[in-house]
Amino acid sequence: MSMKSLAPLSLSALMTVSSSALATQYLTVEQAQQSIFPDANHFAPLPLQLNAEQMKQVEKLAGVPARSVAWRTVAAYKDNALLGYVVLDDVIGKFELISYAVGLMPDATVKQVEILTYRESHGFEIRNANWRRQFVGKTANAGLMVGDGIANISGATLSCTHVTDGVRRIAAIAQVTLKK
Amino acid sequence: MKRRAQPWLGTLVDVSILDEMPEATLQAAFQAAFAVIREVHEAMSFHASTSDISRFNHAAPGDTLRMHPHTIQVLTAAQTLSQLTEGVFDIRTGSCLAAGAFLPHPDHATIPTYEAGHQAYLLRQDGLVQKLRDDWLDVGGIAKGYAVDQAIAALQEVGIRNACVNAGGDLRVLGRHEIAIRDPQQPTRMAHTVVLEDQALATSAMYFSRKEIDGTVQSALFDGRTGVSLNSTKSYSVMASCCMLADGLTKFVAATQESNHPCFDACDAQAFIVSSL
Repeated sequence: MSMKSLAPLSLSALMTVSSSALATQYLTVEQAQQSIFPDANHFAPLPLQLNAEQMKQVEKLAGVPARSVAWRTVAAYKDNALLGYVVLDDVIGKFELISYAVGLMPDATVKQVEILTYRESHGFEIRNANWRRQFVGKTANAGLMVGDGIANISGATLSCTHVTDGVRRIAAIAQVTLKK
Repeated sequence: MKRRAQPWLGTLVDVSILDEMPEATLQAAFQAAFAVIREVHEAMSFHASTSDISRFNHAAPGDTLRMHPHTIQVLTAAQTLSQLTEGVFDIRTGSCLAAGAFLPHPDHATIPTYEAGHQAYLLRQDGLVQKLRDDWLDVGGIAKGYAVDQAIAALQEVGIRNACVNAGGDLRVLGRHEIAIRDPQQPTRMAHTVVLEDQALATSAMYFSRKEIDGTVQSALFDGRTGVSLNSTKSYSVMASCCMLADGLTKFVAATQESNHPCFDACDAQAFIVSSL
């Protein structure tokens, strides 16, 4: 295939979605739990509360601030046997909000990380918690592109340091509070 | 469409499968795709001290190393790309990335000075890799594409015919897919769409990595001929049958602004530059 013969490459301008934000739903919490622990037949909420001492330990282990006292956690069981835990979290990047689930073994090692949702805002500036509220209850009609529409985007690599920092933090939390 | 994403290779890797299949087959397909991406990540991460790339960077000139077959394939392709692009593409720019703090500085070792026009390694007949000079390698400009190719092969092996694997903007499709390209001036907007059929598309641009260092704007893209960081407001895309080659060639277009060079024909690729909407 020669470059010259393909010079007028068909690039279409994308006026209709150019001002939209983007959102992709990958898995529900339940789907993520089942994907991480396919053998589990029972998931039980296990809300975690860190005390001041535990928060210090988490910061020391993870090298990032513990950030929050309360963590949404679920324990996975097959009958009465504990298979591990799933901890849920959201992180905000330059202009994106990512919800994800971290699956951990009973010994607090990370088993699997699954992205639940990925959302982009319109601009780079919005970095506070109000940003999350923008998306609540919104649908494709309200200016969000849902994953089933334009499926994929090519562009410069978007770093996910905030997710990997988040996973490290959650592994440390599990180490401090859940490790058997 | 079923879609999953996991953090690997320093970005989010998104796998979407459009075939109608029993749930168990689909789950096995996702598992196979993410398993090979994980292998590539673990073999070639600049950050992980146990990866082949870190072991190479820590080794002394003259040392020989045994490496994962994935790493050997990527190092082989890197040599080919370096020749085809007349040195514009060079994975030895790992030291430039570390010097600009685009990559971490392992163990506070002294960062080697980048000198253009050298070979850092020899791929020996016995399968070992010999380090020839004090250079740091970073395969971030090619390994995402390689991982995408491997994941697509894994999907094909389990019978998938309609899918997309996207490693943070470098992607390859099975079947026919419309892909949006970010507007380099406003990356949260989409500038164009392009239709791919069993093809790969990779894009390089500076909008996510650009920062000011000592009063000059730098990005995570470097010209292998000079070791100088690139700064441009455009974005550079390459379409090819292989995502690894597409990924590598975007660095050539970004550095040279050339979309018509023999290296594209050699890789069965075509390049295009997006300035803005």
